Amino acid sequence: MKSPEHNLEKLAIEASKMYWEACHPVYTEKSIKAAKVLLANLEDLKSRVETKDLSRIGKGFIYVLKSKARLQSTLNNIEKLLYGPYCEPLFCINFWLDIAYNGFNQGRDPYTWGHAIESVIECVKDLLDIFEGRERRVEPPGSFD
Amino acid sequence: MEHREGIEAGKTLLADLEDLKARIKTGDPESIKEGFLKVFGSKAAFQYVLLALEATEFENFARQIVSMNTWIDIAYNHFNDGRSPQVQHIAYGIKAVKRLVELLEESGRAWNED
Repeated sequence: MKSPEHNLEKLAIEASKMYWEACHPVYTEKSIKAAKVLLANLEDLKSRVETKDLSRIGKGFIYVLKSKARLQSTLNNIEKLLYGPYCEPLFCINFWLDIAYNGFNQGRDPYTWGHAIESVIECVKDLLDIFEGRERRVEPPGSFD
Repeated sequence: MEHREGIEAGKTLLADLEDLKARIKTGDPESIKEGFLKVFGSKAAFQYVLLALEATEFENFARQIVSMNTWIDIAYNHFNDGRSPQVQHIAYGIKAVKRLVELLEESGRAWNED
């Protein structure tokens, strides 16, 4: 039989874990705002791609990279990011964005990578659905399943 | 696409991350900005190869990819906010990329044995 001290110790660990998680939520209002800014910058990038102006597209990518960095910085608790429900959409956002950015850097025709931007948009919307407690509409592109 | 190409792309990213770390120490914003853009370019190329190798299907790869992206973005956001990016953040990114290269080497060996 475990000693009362053992149980107390276990309770203290649990309480400290709950307190830490309450003080460090994975996302906050700032994350929701940051995700919306990222969404707007992705839509802006999509319209820049249509112009085929490389300098404008390059700038559009920088705005997107900056706002994605902002979003990631508003998220706390990296363990939960790695194992929680946020992992999949975040993974897909980064992944599709890198596919598009690599296509652009390689000088490939936007026809071959433009769709990846659309996938990033879907993944940011998916993340927003999770943040705002909505039912996830569709399976995000490139999910693990 | 072969594992070797993934390992090479990972090593290029590692070199660019080391270069960024050195640039951060100089405190020159223009040089740091350039370093970040090089990192984003090589990270994008690395992820492209990881997709082609279907490495992204595996959870052990996916966890390291999330870690790599998170730490690089946290450092970049520090820089964009006018704060000095922490060399430590880049070091965590380097750790994740090194693990990815190791995973590629391991799966490349397993592939060859089959």
